[in-house]
Amino acid sequence: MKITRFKFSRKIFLLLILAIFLLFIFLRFGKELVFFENSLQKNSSIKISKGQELSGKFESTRANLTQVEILLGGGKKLNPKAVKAKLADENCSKIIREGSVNPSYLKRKDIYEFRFSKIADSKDKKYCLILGYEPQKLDAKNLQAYTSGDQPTMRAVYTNNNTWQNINELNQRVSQYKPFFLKHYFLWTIFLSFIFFSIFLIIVLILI
Amino acid sequence: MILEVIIEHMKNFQQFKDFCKKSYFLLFLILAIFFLKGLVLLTVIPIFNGYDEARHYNTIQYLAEPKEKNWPTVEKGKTNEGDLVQRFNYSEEIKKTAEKIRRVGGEDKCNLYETNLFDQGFYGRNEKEINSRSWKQYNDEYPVNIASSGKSLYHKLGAIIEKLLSEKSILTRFYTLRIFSVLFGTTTILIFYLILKNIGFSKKHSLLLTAIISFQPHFSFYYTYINYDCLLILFFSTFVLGAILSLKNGINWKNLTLMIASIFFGIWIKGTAYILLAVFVFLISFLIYKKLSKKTNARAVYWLYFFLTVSFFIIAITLGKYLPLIGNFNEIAGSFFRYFMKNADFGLILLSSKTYWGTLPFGNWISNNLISIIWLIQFISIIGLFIFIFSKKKPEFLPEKKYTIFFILMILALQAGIRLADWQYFAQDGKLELQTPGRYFFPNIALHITLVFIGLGMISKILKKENYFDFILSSGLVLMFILFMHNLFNLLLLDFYL
Repeated sequence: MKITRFKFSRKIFLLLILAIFLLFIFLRFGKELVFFENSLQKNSSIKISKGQELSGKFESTRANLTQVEILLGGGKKLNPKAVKAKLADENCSKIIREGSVNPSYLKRKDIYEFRFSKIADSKDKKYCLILGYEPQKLDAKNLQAYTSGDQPTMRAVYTNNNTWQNINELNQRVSQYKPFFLKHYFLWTIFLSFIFFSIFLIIVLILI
Repeated sequence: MILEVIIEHMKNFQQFKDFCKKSYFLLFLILAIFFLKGLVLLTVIPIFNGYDEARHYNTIQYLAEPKEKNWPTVEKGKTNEGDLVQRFNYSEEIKKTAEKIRRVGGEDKCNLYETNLFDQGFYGRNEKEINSRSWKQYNDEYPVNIASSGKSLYHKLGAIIEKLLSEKSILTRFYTLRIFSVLFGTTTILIFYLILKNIGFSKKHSLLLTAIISFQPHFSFYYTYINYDCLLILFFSTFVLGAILSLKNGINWKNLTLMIASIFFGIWIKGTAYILLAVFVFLISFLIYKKLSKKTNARAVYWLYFFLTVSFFIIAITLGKYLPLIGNFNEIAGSFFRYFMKNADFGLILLSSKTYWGTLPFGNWISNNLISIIWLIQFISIIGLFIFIFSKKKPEFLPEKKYTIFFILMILALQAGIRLADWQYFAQDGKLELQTPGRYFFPNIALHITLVFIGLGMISKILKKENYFDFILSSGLVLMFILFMHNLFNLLLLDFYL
């Protein structure tokens, strides 16, 4: 009897591990479901010394602006917490959101994210991004920011009203440049059947 | 009444549970999931993003061209401008498609600021133009950039599909070819199961191991590309099946045909399969010797001498053709020493391992530590394997030692074959051309993963835990699946589309 209970708990343990990790994977996936519309172009760079600010303007083409991506130099030596970011109105006077930047989730070279709670009515509005540099170290090197023209290299990133719409937009992107049998509903069917049947298989193989 | 309905449902549920436990149902499920997974990946990975995929597709297009090439051609060398598709002599259709979609393999893929520009809706902005088939579907820039001089069986089969679909858009033709790669992969997974079952694993353990192998992330990605390795790995697995059946039942015409056909088709696909010839000679010699050691048979001795003489000449001709055996012994030894020293680099060894597991270079915790975890597991497993090989009695749930030793032999043979080919390039150019990425070792992936779990199984037996091997295999499956899902949802989709 004891052996049976022991076996049972071991299987439950594995199922729990599976559930927890899948939850983490899908939560992270949901968090990263944001959409940019432009590519990042870098032509030159400028140095920002301690206490100095750099600003640039951009137009939000969509509603639900939730992030601005910027290109900063310095690599691993850069402490992103020292880079303060503010989102202001088009005159750079009224601060709407503020915080610090973080390296992008995939740690893509030089891309940093300034994330904030989404602005629902951002469509066709102009914004001003202000970057400040406030390192703790007295002898910290100047911040290198990449530029395109006279603007810091940046792009607006958007979300949708809910996760369902986000997943639908992702489906649209994956469907592009694919033959009809890998698009839209076919893609939904393929993805959902893969997820459902693979989880089912693993549960069965653990339990038998 | 309600009670009767409940009892009826319980009976149906019990029947469903019993059905789910049936090995053929679970095997079918593993194969169906591998195929679905392939469809997911081949859709997620953009066109021409597989290893040398544009080159392999161009080879197929080249073979599908009309025999009479009555169009004007131009001589054009390789350029360093543009991405890896634009630099080489490919058909206009390939180059233009890559240009219009923008996100292509190689260095352009590494240019992370130049990601695709997406539109709202299910059609890309240049899709209509791509589907209009207004570009040349043939090569007019010479010398044409093709793989294996266009002689590989894989490309010839691909050319048949390309011709059949010649009136369809490049997107349909390209992705259909990718689907064929997934079908080859699904067949390979079936062969893996047969190998595992025949070496003595129980049905359940064979299913668990097959499922673990089928979720290996990089192996899964690899089977979605247009690349001749997809077919090569299939013939490696059929050879192994023939070999283990020979070890199990002795040589018969079925096993012999399976092995010889695998070697023949394998070599027709890619030179890597030459190592199967060496393994075959060794195996047959061993089996004949084993038979002779039981009873002296003069006829069998003559056959053995004949076989060894023919084999010696075949291997000598092959080595002479594929190895830098030019010059005296000192020159050859010097060349090999220089090659060895060049390879004695921890970074290169790490590169093979990283690319075998497909860790993508994003610097997150999993990417940074995955290899260390895998190496730790493998280290523990090697201890178990040593104990297994040198112990007198094997645990009943593990296969016989002869299969384990054969698997090790296969791994050593492939390693030697690839290193020798790498040495050949090194002797010609003075630099490491191939860099031995992990994908070169995929033909032995099933054997490698099986050996790891045999080692772990032996350790579990030493710990004397009841049914611990089940738990190890189930844990391996859960971890491999999680790793795959992490790669798909937290890396690939984000990298290509967000």
